[in-house]
Amino acid sequence: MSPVALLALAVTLATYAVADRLDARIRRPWTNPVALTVVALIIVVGSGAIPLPSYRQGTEPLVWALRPAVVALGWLMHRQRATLRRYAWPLLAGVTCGGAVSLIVTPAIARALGADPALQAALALKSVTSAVGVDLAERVGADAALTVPLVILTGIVGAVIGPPLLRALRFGSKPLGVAVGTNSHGIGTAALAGRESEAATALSGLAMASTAVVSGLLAPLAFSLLGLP
Amino acid sequence: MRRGLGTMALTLADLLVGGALLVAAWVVGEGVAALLPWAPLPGSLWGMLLAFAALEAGWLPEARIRRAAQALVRLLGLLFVPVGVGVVAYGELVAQHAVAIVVAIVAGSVITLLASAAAASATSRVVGGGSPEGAHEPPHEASRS
Repeated sequence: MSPVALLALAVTLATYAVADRLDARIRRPWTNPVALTVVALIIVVGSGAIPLPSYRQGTEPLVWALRPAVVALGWLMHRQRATLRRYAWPLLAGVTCGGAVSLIVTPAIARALGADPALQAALALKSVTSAVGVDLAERVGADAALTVPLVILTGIVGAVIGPPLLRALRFGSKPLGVAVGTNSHGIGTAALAGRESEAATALSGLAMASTAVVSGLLAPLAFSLLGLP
Repeated sequence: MRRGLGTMALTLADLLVGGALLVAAWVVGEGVAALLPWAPLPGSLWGMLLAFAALEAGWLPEARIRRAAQALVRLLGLLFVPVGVGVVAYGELVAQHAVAIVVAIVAGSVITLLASAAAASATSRVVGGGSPEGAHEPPHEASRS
């Protein structure tokens, strides 16, 4: 591994550690460690201080460990099985409603702003976890390369505004978990881990998987309704 | 001192065995994803559902993976950071349509979040979702240690 790549990994770990400490100390909606670290590193990498290829090389171990970590959400679901059983119908309703609204409303907003159909189609898939989003984009005729950054941005935006917005409106932690997982997939779920209740995190993980399935089923219908390619 | 070292070795072995089992579940998940290309789920999410099913069925003893799973869930936020930073690769593409993208994603997310939370909350009021929602709920416990 090149020295710059190692530096990239070290900077990522150090920034996250500082953000996590800050969050533990003062705990404000904006101190979410995932969001803070991502924004800080986007600035570092975007400015060219650390080139993106080196950043990718250095953080490869983290990306690798991400897969078993997503699998570990299955363990969290098992621990929260009583909640999942009681909350199965609300989860299904939240995912279906949220997923359908996202598929229709997001491209409609973009259309009102004069975005071209290709961008509208990619925006429709904003809440579908990226691996599925790419696959789905190819199937419904959207641009996969354009879909990826929109999915990531949606993850970050929902992770930042979701919990404070829903708390302010007096939603409990269960609907909060469902909504953040539905809108912001993995990044949203990661932002809940350790900050919200374990039940909220487990519901968010299951909502992320369910949204991918529901969107896969509903996307062709939504696209024909909107007259997209 | 020796006892401390022994405990540490056991903890490490526990983490390695648990981690290996979670990786195995992911590999099986990738296999399922390859076998069912029409099913809209990636390997890691298949792995998540398979691990859940295996724990429920008792095929996978919870104690075996507890430590590793707990550690990984705690690190989930850190592990997602490179994915988020990956957006830099699309900087120009995003910048070309910045206004439409930002407005559609922010407004779209607010509306999606509200629709989802409201539907879940309303449904739990109808079918009963355990503890009452909203103001009656006790403050969320921090699972950070």
